[in-house]
Amino acid sequence: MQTDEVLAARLADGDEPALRELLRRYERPLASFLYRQTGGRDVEDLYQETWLRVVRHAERFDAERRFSTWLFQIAVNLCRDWQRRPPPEPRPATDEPARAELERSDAALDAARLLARLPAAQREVVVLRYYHDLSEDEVATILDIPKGTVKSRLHQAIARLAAVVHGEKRAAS
Amino acid sequence: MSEQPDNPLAAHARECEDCRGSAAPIAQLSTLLDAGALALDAAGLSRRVLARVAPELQARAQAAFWRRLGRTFGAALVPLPLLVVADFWLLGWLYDLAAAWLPSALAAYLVLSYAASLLVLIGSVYAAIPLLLARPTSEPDSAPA
Repeated sequence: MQTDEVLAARLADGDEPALRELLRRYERPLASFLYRQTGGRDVEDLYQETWLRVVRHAERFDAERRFSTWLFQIAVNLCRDWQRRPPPEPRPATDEPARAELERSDAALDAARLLARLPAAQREVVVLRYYHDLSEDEVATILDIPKGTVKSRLHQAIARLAAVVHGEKRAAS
Repeated sequence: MSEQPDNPLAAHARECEDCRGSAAPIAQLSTLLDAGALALDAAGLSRRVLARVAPELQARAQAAFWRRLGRTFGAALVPLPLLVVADFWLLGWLYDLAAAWLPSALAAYLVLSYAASLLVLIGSVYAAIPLLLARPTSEPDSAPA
């Protein structure tokens, strides 16, 4: 079995089967990461842009590093750029994902709504750590922050989410 | 994920005194975060990526092919002068040997025939280089990472 890193090296030479295999391995994790980071908006654009950058910069990839870390670093940077863009149309001041995505369930709370309550920096940590089960070291590398910051952001996110859950409970009762 | 012992939220709460003390509803949070499957057509996204990057990949593949071809031809040309000198020496020696036993015209015919064969052989070897390099690479193993 070829490792991701070998496939990335082959990708630098325009090897389409290598790209197909990398896509197969990472399409679900990457798409779900982008979905959770953006609340489901512009996922296709960001997904395409991420892979486009992977292809264009494949020769710069350092095979000593993990491909998954590099891939998520690109995705994180694109999400940050995306979050800085002005919204296409007036929206509520909160950083909520598209209503259509949120109103798909009768449940008062769901994952998308919970994540939408978090600031982007905390959401990145929760998504990478919780949904992708990456270690604190890997999250720190991807986000280019110290490991201690990963811990503190996760702590703040838990406290914030707990407050949201308590608040919704109180509002419901 | 919520019930697994290595749930990152639970692991953090175990390590973090504040979270332990505040009795954050880790299990409840995990259940909520796990709720709702994502409606994602990841395979469809990948198909569109492949369609979009296909021209770029093709251009890269072409460039890589010419780079490899240049390198390989360069390496293959290095021993060529030695080969030519050795062949000339061999042909001269063969001619001398044949001329000692046969009429010189026949000896020249035999040696020239042999020289032509050598030329075709060497030419074929060099001509095969681009063909060998253009062979498609093997499909990567599709087992999960």
